[in-house]
Amino acid sequence: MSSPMEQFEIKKIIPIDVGGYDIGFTNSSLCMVLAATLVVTIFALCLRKRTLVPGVFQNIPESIYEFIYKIVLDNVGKEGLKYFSFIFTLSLFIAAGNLLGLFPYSFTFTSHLAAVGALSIFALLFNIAVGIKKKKWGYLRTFMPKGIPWPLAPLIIPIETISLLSKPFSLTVRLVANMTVGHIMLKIIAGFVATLGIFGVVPLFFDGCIIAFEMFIAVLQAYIYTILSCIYLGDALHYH
Amino acid sequence: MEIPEDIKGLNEKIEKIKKTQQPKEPTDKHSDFSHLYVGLRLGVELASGTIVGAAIGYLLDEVFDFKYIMLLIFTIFGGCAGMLNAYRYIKSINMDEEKGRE
Repeated sequence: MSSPMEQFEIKKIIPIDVGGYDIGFTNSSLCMVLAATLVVTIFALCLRKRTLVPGVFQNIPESIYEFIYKIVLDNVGKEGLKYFSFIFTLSLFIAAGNLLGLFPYSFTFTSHLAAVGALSIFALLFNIAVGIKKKKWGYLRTFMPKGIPWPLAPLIIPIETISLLSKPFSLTVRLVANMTVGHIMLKIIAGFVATLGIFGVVPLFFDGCIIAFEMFIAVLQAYIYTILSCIYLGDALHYH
Repeated sequence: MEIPEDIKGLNEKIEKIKKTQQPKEPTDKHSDFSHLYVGLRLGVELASGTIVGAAIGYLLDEVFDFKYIMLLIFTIFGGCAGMLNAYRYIKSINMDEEKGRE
């Protein structure tokens, strides 16, 4: 039986070297491209024949759109609707990545710290940019909230800075840990199917149940990521 | 003026209907699963603050050669930041619950 960690190995498909830096096209990059293409294709196909009263296929993207629209409206407010397209893209990309990873021979790029971490850091920088754009110098109040005496500044400023920087970290760890654990569990239980012979039916049944559960987790984690991104964006816009 | 018979019993009827339509006892809307999520989230918040603080301290030590003083200081700051994040999360849950009650 191969190692349960083997499924997370990054394999180079097209080696590209620029100035000593390896920027090769890997199985992770391929799955990211596939996830983005899949979302765009499904949306394009479902919205091909647009009618005022939506049909079954038109209902799918419209429901997803309205669902995420409501999340942004509830957590950021009307002001946040300007940034709806960013949140919408982010959540669909993560949901597609999570779900795509459940297919055999696929790769779960959301189980890698580097991929999700980059997305989270990008989201953090975006939030900081939005905060600075709205509050100008007043954004610095995030690091020294109103009402706190100035002698406490050497303590409060580093704590608030770490608090801000730990947000993308906790966002990343949550998603990566969930995806990694789920896939390891699937692989270990699948390993018993072959070794137990006729009794392998039992772990096979469990694996089926876990795959169904993993589908739920994949969507749930994308939802949690979206909600938290919205809360952090809301903090950047309204906090202090 | 005499009150008609059907109106006389109206109050009793209203009381009877009110009793049958008593609001149900509020049930705990948070399942064990959501408690588990809150616990996990708090754990992640506490740990991530400490890890990020330690990482910043380590980097400062590496760059300015402070002999692990920054690692020590920033790990403590990170722990405080983790607690602050956890406190803010709990506060937001309490606020949501209060809004729900209203």
